[in-house]
Order: sequence, then C-alpha cells, then structure tokens
Amino acid sequence: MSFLSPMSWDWMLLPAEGMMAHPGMPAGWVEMVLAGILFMVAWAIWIPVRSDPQHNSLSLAHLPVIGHVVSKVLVVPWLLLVLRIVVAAIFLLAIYAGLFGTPLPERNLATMLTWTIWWSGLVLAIFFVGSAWCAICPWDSLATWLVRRRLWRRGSETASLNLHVPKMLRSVWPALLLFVGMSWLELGFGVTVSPYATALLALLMVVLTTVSLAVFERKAFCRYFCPVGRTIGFYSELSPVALHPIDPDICARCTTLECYHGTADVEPCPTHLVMGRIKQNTYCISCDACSRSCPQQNVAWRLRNAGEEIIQAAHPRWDEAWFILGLLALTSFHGTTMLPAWERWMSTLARSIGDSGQLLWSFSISMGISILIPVTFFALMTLLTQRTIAAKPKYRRVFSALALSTLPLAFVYHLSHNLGHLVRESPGIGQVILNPLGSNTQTVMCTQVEIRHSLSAIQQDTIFALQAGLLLLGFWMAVRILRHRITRVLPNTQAATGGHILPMLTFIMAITLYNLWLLMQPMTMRM
Amino acid sequence: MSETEIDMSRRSFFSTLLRKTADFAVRVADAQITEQEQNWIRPPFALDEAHFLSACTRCDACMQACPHGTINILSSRRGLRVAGTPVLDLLNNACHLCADWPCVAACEPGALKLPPREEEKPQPLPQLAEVRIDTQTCLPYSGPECGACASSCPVPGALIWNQCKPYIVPQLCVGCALCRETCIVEPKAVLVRSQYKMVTEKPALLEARD
Repeated sequence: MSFLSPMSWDWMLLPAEGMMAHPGMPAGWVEMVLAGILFMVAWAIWIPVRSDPQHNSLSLAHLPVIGHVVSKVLVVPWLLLVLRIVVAAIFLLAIYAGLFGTPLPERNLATMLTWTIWWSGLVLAIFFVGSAWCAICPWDSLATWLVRRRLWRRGSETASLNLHVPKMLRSVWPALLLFVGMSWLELGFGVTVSPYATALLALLMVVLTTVSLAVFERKAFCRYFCPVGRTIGFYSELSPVALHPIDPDICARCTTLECYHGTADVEPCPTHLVMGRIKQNTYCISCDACSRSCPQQNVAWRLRNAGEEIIQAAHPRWDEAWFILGLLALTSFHGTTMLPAWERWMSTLARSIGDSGQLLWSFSISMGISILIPVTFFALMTLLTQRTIAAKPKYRRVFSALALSTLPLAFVYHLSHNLGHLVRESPGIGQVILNPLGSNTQTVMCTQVEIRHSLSAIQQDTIFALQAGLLLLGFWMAVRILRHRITRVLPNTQAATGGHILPMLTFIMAITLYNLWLLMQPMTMRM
Repeated sequence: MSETEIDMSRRSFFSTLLRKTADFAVRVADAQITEQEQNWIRPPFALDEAHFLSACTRCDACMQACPHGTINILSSRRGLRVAGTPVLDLLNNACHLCADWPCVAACEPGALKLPPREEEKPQPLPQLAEVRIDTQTCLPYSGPECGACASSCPVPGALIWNQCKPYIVPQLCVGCALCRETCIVEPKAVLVRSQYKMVTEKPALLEARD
C-alpha cells in the first residue's frame, strides 16, 4: 500500500514556507474506507433494487416531553425573534470589527466568526437541524426589519413593490452564479484573510437581500438568489430533520391554505410553498410562518430517514442538477486549493502566462478547469448511462436525475473538510470574543498556532475516524440514490441492473477516491 | 295545379312573405343568442339562452341569494336584451355548488329551474363551464411542487393527480372553478370558459365586476 502512504507524494506536498499544514488521514483509516467502498460496489451491482424503499418518520410533536416543547416553540413568535435579534447583533458587531478592527485575520472577529465558525459550522448544522439557519439569517432579518418595518408581525402590502420575479430568473441559476462568484472571492481574492473585505462582503449581501425584498414579492432572494440558502436547501434534502405536517390528513382536507396565504398577523410563506402539500423541503427556509399561521397547529419538525427526500420526493430539474454539480465541483476544488501543491501550481502557471502578483488570472483559469473536469466527466458518464438504456430517455432527464446522486458526495466532503477547520481553528475564538477588534495584538506565532491546535476539544484520531465514517456514509447514500433514480428513468417494467449503474458508479467512486486522497494530504490552515 | 307550381294568389303571397320574414328573424335572433351566450356563463340550472332570456325578469333575487357573491349582473353595455340578467363571475369567485341551490330556489319565474329528479337519486350537478389547466403556468408542469388545488374539487374523480401533476377529467368536471379559486399562481393556472365556446373563437369574455 505504498501508494496510499502520504510519504510517496512528498515531492509535491511539502508545505510552502510560512504556511501551517496539518497531517492528513493515516493509511489505516484509508484502507478501511476502501474496503467499505469495495463492499458497497459489490452490493450495488449484485443485489437487485427494491422497488419501494421504506418510509420511517416520526413527528417530534408526538414525542412525550419534547413534543410539547417543540409545538410550543414553533407557535410562539418571540423565541425566534430573540434569536434573530441576537444573531443580527453579533453580525453587526462582526461588520464593525471588520471595518474598524485589526487587519490580522486570526485576531479579528469578522474573519474568525464568518469563516471559521459560521461557514464551517453551517454545514455541520445542516446535518443536525436541516435548514434552521435560514430562520435566523441576519441578512434576511436586517432586510425584513428595514423594508417591512415590523419586528415580527406581517408587514403592510405597500412596504415592497411586490413585483413578480421575471420568469427567466425563477430558477437556481442566479444562486449558482452567485455561489461561483462567492467561491472566487473567497479563495481567489482572499476575502477569508481580510477582515475589511469580509465586512464589505457581508454588507453587500445585506444590500442584495434588502433590494430584492423591496422590489420582488415575498422573499425572492431566499428562494432564487441566495447562494448560501440554496446550498443549505439542497444539503438539507439529506438531513434527517425537516418541517412537515404532523397529520397529513388534516392538510389533505384543508382548503384555506393559511400556510401559503398567511393570516392577518403572520407572513405568508416567503418561498411560495404550500407546507400542507409539499414532499420536498428544498425551498423551505424553516421560518416557522406556516407553523404559526396554521389554525390546527399541524406543522412541526419531523425525523425521517436521512436521504429519504432525495431518493423519493425530489423532482429532478435541469437547473437544480447544475447547482448540485456546482456544489460537488466547488467543494472538491476548495480542498484542492488547500493542498500545499496548489501554491506551487499557481506560481508555475502565473510565470507561464505572465500574470500579475495577485495571481487573479491564474486562479480564475485554474478554478474554471477544476470545475470543468468533474462536470465533463459527469456529462460523459451520463451519456454512457443513457446508451445502456434501451428506451433512450432524453439526455437532460437522465442528467437531472443522476445529478441527485452526487449531492451526498459534495455534502460529506464539505462536512469532513469543515470538521477539520472547525476543530483545529476554533480554539482561538475565545481571545477574539474578548477582544473583537483585536486592538493592540500581534500576529499569532506558529508555535502558538500549534498549541491552539493541540488544545482542540476533539482528538486528532477522532477527527480521522469521523472523516472516514462520513466518506463511507456519503458513498452509501450516493449509491442508494443512484439505484433508485436510475430505476425511475427506466421504462415501468424494467428493473435497474449492474450494467445500468456501472458508469455512474464509476463517477461516484472516482469522486470519493479523490476526496479521500484530499483528506489524506496535509492541509494548509488559514489561521 | 301541379305541385311545383307556385301559388300566385295574393293571400298566399302575403302569408309566405310573413312566414319567411318571421323565420328569418327567428334565425337571426337565434344566431345572435348563440353567439352571445359564449361570452358569459349563466347560473346553475339556467334554461337554454333563448328561454332563459324570455323567462328572466331581471329581479336580482338569485344574486342576492348567492352566499358566495358568485352571481353578477350583466351591464347595459352588453346590449339591452341581456342587460340586468345574472351571470356567474367564475374568474373571480367559484360556484360552491350549494346543496340546496339557493339561487335556483330564489328564482320565482323559473329561469333557473331544477330538472325533474328521480326518487332516491341525488340531484345531478349542472354543467356550468369548461375548465382546463394552463400547463404553461401551472407550477408542477414546470418543476416546483404545488398541490394547492388538491382538495378543492367537490366532484369525486374530476381532478386527478398523476406524478404530482393535476389533470382535469372533462367528462366529470362541471366547471365550478373552485380549483381556480385555490390556485396560488398569478395569473391563475386554471382557465375557465363557456361550454358553448367554439374552439377557434377569441378567448372567453366574462362580464367583469362593474
């Protein structure tokens, strides 16, 4: 297994000077992941697809003690309001720190809070509480208070122009564009290491949200434009928690649809969903308007099988497929840029094209290539899959359906990557909270960073174990989604065979192995 | 006098002239009524348009009786012959097919009249209008989930669901437009038109609220 040992890659993995790098996953865990993958591949090819997967779900409102609390929490408006005010206050403090505090990223609240705690922790939060972040999102809170001028009650109809979103924008293309743009700003422009730029980016997002709220009806930004919201939306399809009717029969008989129209006090559904009827929660932002407006109090958090939504309920769509592929490509790309070798590749490219010191062109070109490679590979594998199906379904249909199976790969890599960041970088947050602006501070020395990292609450080995487990979980989910989604593309009587799933299985395996390889490498830390 | 020979008597001339003129006038009136009646939708159990027009006294009783504000009155801009007669405003308010038909019960002259009913059998529903789904605007046809209209249809089997998309069964649908009322899309994705509408004609005109 010499190939697996990080030692054999030394020539390209020595950390650049002055950078802090962390050891990658040791060979023992890697071998375990590989064995798991081989076992699942054999299972996927030899065991026939069961036509109807089981539905196990449990409304939290039905649990003995928690149920009472959950139903109460979802109906009273003040609890969420308090949370929103607290989060918005911290957000404003971070912006203030970014604008007027120290330019040292590891000493400033803006960068520490935004990139180390929030952006890393967000993906972890989706795993446990679905799209709950959207309910307390400070961009939306500030925009709502500014435009509607109400703390929590329904705003007046005249507060916004309430225009329909133009038909060409009613998709996730704008969000995908913003997501690619934000990744470029984050990694290429280096927003993550500049408190001032971080604060400006935060302000820009508030401005975008506010303008969208003032011009378009309901919360068009959350539904169509927000890159973070849509990322959360797609990942939350894999989450075991979602808002859902407690008793579907009550909703089936309902003709008044308060969950959609709102009441005199409560806002209508901000993302145009009829909570009583939906099966797919992608666009739900957990704002609890439906649970408060429902006269029967029939909406609550529900536990379900992780991945059930994307296997059964999700409708494959062309634009959503591209967003998912974008997530997949950008998460792996994110990991690639943290390889020590990335710096060397960038400087080689910059020399050959005569780029300026900022390396913006070199970065943009490399980013484009890094996105193109997995997308082209996916498109090719879709073509092969389409060829194996005798009935020749439309290419777009196969493409959209199969893209769903790549979502868990993006999610688990994102999770394991962020887990590393969060655990290793977050111990410094205590000092930053005590001194948000970082006044009179020096840059953190390498030795101090090592001490910080060793102070982390979770042992190194535990992180590796979690990362290995997550990769296996993602692979398992991807294979399951793939098997069910292919069966849906086939004509009614036909069952999916090993031949049908082989091309896409190859893709899933390749991406997982690449992500595994990324996790094996020593990772450069930001701070 | 052979059979083909025309009776040239004065009496015959005048009686034929009178008959032909009357026939022509009736045909013109019928054609006008047929053309006009495509432009609106009459309340439930209305007589056919010609009989309805002669029976209706423009008393507004059906409009007053309707608990859902579905019945409107045609304005004089539509012509004196139909001015003041009741129509259903299905584009804005659906007909709830009330169990006891208050609008029909309120109609004293019998322009709205329940057909004779067989014992032990429920009253058959009236055919009001032709309703169909606009697949260009209906949400599930373009991707997002909806289902807002799912429980709106009062006629079992007239609004069915296949792969999360709604379909209207024309043989069963009576055209009450309740599905249009619950539709959450703007403009509404459920189209309503007169059942007498010719396929090639202009879009249905319904009398807007004055």
